[in-house]
Amino acid sequence: MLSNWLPFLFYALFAAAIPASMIALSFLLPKRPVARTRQKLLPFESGVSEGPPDRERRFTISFYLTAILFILFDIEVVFLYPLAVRLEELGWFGVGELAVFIGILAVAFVYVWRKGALRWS
Amino acid sequence: MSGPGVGWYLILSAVVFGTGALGVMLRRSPLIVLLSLELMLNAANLALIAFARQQGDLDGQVFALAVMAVAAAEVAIGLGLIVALARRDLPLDVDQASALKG
Amino acid sequence: MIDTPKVDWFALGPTLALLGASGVALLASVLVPAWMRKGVAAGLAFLGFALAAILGGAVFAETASPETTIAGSMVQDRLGAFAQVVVGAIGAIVVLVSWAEPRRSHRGEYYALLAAAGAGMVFFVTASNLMTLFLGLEWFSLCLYVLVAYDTHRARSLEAGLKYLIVGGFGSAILLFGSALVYGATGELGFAEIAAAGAGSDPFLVAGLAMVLGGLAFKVSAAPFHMWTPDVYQGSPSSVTSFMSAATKVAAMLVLLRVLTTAFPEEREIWTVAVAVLAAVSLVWGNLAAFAQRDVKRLLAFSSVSHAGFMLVAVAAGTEAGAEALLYYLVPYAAMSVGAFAVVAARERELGRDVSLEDLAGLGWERPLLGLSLWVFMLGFAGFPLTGGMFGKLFVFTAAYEAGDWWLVVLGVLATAVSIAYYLNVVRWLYMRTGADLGVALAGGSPPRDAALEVAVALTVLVTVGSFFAAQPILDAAADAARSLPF
Repeated sequence: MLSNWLPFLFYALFAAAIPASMIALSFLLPKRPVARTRQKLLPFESGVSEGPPDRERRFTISFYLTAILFILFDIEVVFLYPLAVRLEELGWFGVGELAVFIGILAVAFVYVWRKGALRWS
Repeated sequence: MSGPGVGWYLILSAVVFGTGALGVMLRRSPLIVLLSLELMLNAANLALIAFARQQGDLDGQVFALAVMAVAAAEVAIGLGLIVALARRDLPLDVDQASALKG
Repeated sequence: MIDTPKVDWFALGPTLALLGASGVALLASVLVPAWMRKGVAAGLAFLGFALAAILGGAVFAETASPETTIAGSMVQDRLGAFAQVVVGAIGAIVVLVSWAEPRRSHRGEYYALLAAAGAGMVFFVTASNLMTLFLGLEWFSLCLYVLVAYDTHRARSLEAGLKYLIVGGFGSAILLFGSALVYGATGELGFAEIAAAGAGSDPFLVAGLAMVLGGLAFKVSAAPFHMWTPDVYQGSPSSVTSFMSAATKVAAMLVLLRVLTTAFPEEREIWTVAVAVLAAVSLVWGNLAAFAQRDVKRLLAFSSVSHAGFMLVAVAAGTEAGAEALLYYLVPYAAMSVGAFAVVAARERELGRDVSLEDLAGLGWERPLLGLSLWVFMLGFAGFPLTGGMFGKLFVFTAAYEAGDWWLVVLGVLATAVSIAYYLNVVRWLYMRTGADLGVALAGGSPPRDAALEVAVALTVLVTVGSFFAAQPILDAAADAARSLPF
């Protein structure tokens, strides 16, 4: 029973160690003494400061557009994993399915590309 | 099979689903509402996977995989609409947005 | 070696036709020269819908008894084929209605999305397990969310889109959780297998059934799950409303009927009561709220809620006669709904704003064809003779009476009587006075005649009236389709 949980324990420790090491290194590595101002100790929220959002300061639309497109194409890749793992057993049927799936994605990709949504300007 | 029984997963998924449902109904920021919708979908995913393990059947896991893609698409559309609303300086408030109540 | 499922291209035909049309239209709207994008995309969407209807007809003709294909995920039967023909026809007519919609940008993508929504619907109606049910539902819903918000220059359209996304997503999530519970109770996703598992009155199964029913009730806009309907119908572009009100209702009603009868035959006592309650609430709420509306699209939205009530009366019967009545009802209803919103769309383009009842004044004199057509649709909605609406109501009430739901019949007759008042009120406004008397200013003068829209309206009038005179062939087809369900 307990041995079944051992891998999970390693997994949890590893998961905790990564962010902890990141924070620790950012304090240990700098050569110059860094002023520990309040701003620097606040949690990093992807550039969004706390409090109500500032109506004047805007993000460029391309920021959102790229993020949204990333979510979509990123998630679609999830379907390739099961296919990749079992491709040998599935044989040509799997390859065919893969082609159909990629083909549909390609239509969307060509549209996005020609529309200029990938151009960062 | 090892680990906690399927009951615990179900309780967790029910709690998450309830949290999401409450969030959709009570919160006013459309971003939080979208987030709550995602919670609801992922609670259902958790239940599907838990049942799939209990039954020793893969269908539930395949279902959950498909739901993940659908959820991403839904969020993308929701974010797109919110950006479009924000660009036109419309109120980003689900309650105010329904100037046309009925 | 893994057993690879046999892909049944014939059964997938309608879906593939529309999916292909959608993909090519999407590519065309960035790759061909700007001036012909709209034409190419609209033509492709029209062809896709027409082809889907024809292929649906072929499936109907070829399929004597239902058979599941593609690893049991979809079923090839006459019920699904019936819906595919109806949805294909609706879509083709809506392309005509949309043609003259004033739109400055993204004119090709509109048709690509319309075809994609249609593809989702014709796939959805063949779903035979909970996974394809959910995927089909989301497939067309996601397209509709974007279409509703398509007029990005109108705040109402954007807000309607966001509202539909939130409420629709809520409904889908409930349906999904219900599916998970049903899966937990039976260990199966396929409808027939769920029924065969015979889980009896397992609490998970009953809770799952309730949530699946609730989720679908959002989509068919049955009260009390209809709160999005008036705002979304009003806010979205009128051509999208005409598509949504007709096609979504057809697809979701059929799937509701299919899920309840094939997956939950053991729980018939439970769901017939639940559906009857939904039907009663929809009838009462839809008809009462319709009275208070000044905006024509909102009035039609509540009318659509009340029609969901009539259709659910047929579902609540839980018999083959009920299924036949529902299938018949959907044909004239879809035609009237597309037609009525098309007439509103025409008036909206003339005036350049939302159409209230007052704004209809004089339409009957200024544009006799559209006025007369709207008259026909209103009488049809109310169930007058010479329109298919009458037989629709008659068959529904007969089925409900035979099933012993006499109280629903009484409620339905009362609702019909009440509804005549507000439907005739619309007709009264049509012929009230001329627009000039009222000082209703046309936006930039009367636009040129919109031939495509007039053809579309004429076709829907033809179906509305034709389904009265040719009731028997439609009823025969409905009976054939209803036989695919296990009663």
